[in-house]
Amino acid sequence: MKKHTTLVIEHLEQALSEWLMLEYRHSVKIWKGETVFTNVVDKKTADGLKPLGKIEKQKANTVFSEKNCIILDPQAKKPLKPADFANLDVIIVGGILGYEKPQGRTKELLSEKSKFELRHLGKIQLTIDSAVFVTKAVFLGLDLRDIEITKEIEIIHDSVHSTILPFGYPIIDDKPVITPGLVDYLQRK
Amino acid sequence: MANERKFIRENSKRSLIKKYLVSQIEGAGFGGMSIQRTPIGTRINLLVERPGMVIGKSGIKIKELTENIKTRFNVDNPQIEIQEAGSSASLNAQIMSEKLAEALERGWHFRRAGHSTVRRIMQSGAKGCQVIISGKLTGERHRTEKFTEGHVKYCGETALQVMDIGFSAAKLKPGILGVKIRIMRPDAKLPDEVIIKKPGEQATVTAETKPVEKKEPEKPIEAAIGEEKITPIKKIIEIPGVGPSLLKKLEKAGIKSVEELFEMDMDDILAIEGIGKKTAENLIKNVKKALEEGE
Repeated sequence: MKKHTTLVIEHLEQALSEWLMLEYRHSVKIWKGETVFTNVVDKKTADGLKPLGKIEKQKANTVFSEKNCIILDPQAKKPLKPADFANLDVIIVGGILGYEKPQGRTKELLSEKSKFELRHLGKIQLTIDSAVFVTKAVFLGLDLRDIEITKEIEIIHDSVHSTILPFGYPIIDDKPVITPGLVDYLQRK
Repeated sequence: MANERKFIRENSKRSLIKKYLVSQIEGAGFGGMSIQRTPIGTRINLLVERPGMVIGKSGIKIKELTENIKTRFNVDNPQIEIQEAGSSASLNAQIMSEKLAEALERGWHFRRAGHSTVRRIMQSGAKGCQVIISGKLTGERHRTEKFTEGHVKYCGETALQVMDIGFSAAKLKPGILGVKIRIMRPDAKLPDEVIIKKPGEQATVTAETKPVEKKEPEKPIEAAIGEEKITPIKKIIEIPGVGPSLLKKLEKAGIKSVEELFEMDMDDILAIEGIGKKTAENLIKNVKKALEEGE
């Protein structure tokens, strides 16, 4: 049986917001394997993330320096392929809530500071859970070209008001896979 | 080539002046600007919500602005003319976007601010509007909130003709929020808006639906008798003593032709919002005179 790679989410935001928590929770649910949260410095964040997975105070490049790792970075030159998982111990995703246009923060905060291999998941900027979804699909043997991803989604609240999220969400059966609880959150806040 | 260069130079100067004025009269409610070259210099027409803030005490501010425009942008004898947006402020996309940005900076929740802006614009008679607020609204991930009501045209010739677009930025602690407002003006006529009149009903031809004028063969005198002459209300501006603001008020009141106005009595005209007794008297007198001369 194929060895299940460990998912590492490097927490790179200053605080653990509700939106971030929703995406983390969904990511863990999608991955269904060992999940480690690194760079969790403050106690409050650690307490919030404890029910979801293992917590590490240090950064991923220190904790997993001896392991075979890949960092998912939109600015990487090579795409992620199913073959990459052959001897892979750890796959690292940046825990960042992005801007409309990618600012290259994953490179700045994560990949520039380590010597691990880099891979991208396509040209579209993905949310954390969407990135984990696509990674899982590639892990299960799908090619990136076979995964349909929307450029943005529009959530219609009522006849007047709607919210556009300019991020990539994978599509399954003509419906985007949206973070559970996100629609409710957007209506509330 | 020299001409193209001149156009680019003039337009870049125009946009730099606009940028400069927007930054200088922050808080006065900038609603638009136009530059006209006149024989005695350059006239800059500014549409603002609060003219007092542009003029300043004893006209100090406006003098300073004029001087700066002259020296900074090398403008020949600039004269700044200020128009007050008045009741039309709610239909000016630039003014409304600035107001919304200010409200967001004061701490209004984006949803409340967006809904109330849409409501205010629609209550002013707009055919449609769209308010877009984007950025890190709740300090987390970027999102774009859209509030749309009525007709909104996004592209093409129709959008250029009937939509007014304004943009402002709200500077908040988590970052800058972009505010964009699109307003479809109340007098906007869409190309697909065709009114089919019943047989015998008098046909009023609007500017948009008016076909290319063809020289029609002369009608027999019998046919011409009883045919009523229609002069569009826009032509009223040619009558002495009638300005664009009065035309706007008449159009807002739904008056479509000069003949229709002629048939109205003093009480009817006084019932129009913004028209006083003296204006009404002059209007009746001038319209009567113009129609008599026209005949």
